[in-house]
Amino acid sequence: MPVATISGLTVRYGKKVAVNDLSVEVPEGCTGLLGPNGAGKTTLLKTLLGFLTPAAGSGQVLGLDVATEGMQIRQRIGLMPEVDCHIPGMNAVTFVAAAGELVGMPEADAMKRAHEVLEYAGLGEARYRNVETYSTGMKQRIKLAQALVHGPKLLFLDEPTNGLDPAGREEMLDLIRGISHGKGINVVVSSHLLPDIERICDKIIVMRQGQIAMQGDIAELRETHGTLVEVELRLSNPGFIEGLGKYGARVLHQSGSFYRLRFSEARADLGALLFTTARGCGAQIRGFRPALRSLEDIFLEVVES
Amino acid sequence: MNVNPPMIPPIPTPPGAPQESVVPNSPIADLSYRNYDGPLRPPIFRWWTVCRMSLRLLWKKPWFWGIAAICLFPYLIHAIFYYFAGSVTIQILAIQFPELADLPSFKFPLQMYSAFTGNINSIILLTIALLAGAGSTSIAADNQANALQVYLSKPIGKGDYLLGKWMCIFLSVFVVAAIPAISLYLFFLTVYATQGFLHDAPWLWLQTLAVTLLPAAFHASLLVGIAAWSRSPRMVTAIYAGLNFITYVMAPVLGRILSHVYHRDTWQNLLITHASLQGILDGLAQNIFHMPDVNLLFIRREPHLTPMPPLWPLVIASLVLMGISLAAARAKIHAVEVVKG
Repeated sequence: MPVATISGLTVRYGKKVAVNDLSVEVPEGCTGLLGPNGAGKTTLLKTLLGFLTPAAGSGQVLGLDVATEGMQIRQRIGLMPEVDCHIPGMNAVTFVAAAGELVGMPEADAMKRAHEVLEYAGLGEARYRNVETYSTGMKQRIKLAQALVHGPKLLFLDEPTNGLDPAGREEMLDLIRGISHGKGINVVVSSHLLPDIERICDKIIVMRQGQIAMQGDIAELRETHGTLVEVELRLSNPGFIEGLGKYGARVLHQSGSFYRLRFSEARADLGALLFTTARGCGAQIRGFRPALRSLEDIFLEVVES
Repeated sequence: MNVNPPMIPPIPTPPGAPQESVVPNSPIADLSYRNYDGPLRPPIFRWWTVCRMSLRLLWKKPWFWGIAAICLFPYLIHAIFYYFAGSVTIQILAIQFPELADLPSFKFPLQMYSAFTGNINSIILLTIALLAGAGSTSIAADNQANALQVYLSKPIGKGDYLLGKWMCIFLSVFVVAAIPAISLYLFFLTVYATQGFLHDAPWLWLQTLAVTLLPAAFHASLLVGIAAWSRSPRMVTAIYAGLNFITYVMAPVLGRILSHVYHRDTWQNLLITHASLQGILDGLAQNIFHMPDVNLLFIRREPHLTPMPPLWPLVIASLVLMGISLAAARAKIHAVEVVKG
């Protein structure tokens, strides 16, 4: 069952069309929302939250209408905004508890839960410090904690690793992966950092110019069905590449004696073909394996097409 | 497969010490994520949650209570003065000079009370309003910290947020204004109860409430309006204090010049004299108490020099100012930055 269903959605900022006749079903699990800058990712999230009024079309989030049931939607979802945000003058515990109370949690429950989620987010004893004194990484964690405090069924994360150092980024990705797998929380991650999406998401939706350019399961999209192969030779050998070229292969990437090749069509006799060609030109194959497409390959294909 | 958590080797006990039982180490708390399955209240009266959060922040600051105490202090002096000047003096005179017992009794000082309640602490109330409306609890501070994205991503609307912030300033100013005013009223009630207090001023309690509600609502509305358009609480403080000060100085000067030019005090001149933020509040307070020239009662020797300004223009002016401010605030409040294409 999809967590969000959008049909013919159009959102305008004045005369500029940010989302144009978009129809999509956001599946359960952890979904990455990808797209170049200005593709309409954040606009789509804001519309799903009821912040923006669509010019046309309709949408449902968790079975609730985005145009008329914005309040109920926002009670069931959690949002981690892209920009730094907090309620000024509060420490982390008070802030997260306040976020819980705003959603409708009783005061005592909100305070207890604030401690739990802040501990989970890794803020430890720092949760008693004023939020204004926090580093960027800590502010990211507290944004995640305030989104989680009421136990949402759906979590929108907008650029969750923005401004984090490598270690902080790893920790944040671990946290997100932890909550999005086996905890019953559906997560939509909007990001332009493809490795992050590749690491935490199972499915992707790629947007381009306010429309859906591609959607699917990452594992399936990465599958090349034998058209992509990585070969390592003992020494680099231009004759080997030339020989494979006759069978429709071209080099996508070369690093020393390591080649990443793409065939124009899937070949059942790939192993035999490689060894025959190598023998013909005196090349020695150290190893080869069918390669998977990276998310970057998929993204560039979609965006540049 | 049964996987046990790694065990830390036990600390070796010194020879001869009693042997302790070896207990396997275990986590003291489950730090993994757990879902919340407790109750969630329906999204109504969320403005009160916003207000309560802001009040909590404001009221935990010691300076708030310091200023509130300063506000209380003049009332205290006033009460002590009238206690000795009125009740005690009469009792002493009655004992020392029984022949003066038929002198008229010491009357309740309604003018003084109304002057006090209506005006004397207006600067302190303005300060309280500025602290509440332009401090860390204000909309400007929220704008600066992008807090609207937190507030409005929860099930609360723009109206809830604005009403919550408005109510925070309103309640802060009202509490600081009303508690001493009502205390003083109760004091006079006990002291002058036998001297026709309730007969002379039967609606004084209602007038007192109205006069304390008025600055609270007025300051709250204007501050909410200005703060919504700013990202700097200090700027809001400067603008609102400056606006109060400049208009408060300029308007009476202009009114006086006009009365000199035309050689008479017309109601138009009176209105111009009150054409300031504080002037509107003063004029309304005078009308509520039916006491002319409350503002200058303590300075002038003749307390009735200046008549009351007309009521309705002041009511309309205050309502228009409050309405414009609240509409401006509502127009500015957005969960997201809406870019016009």
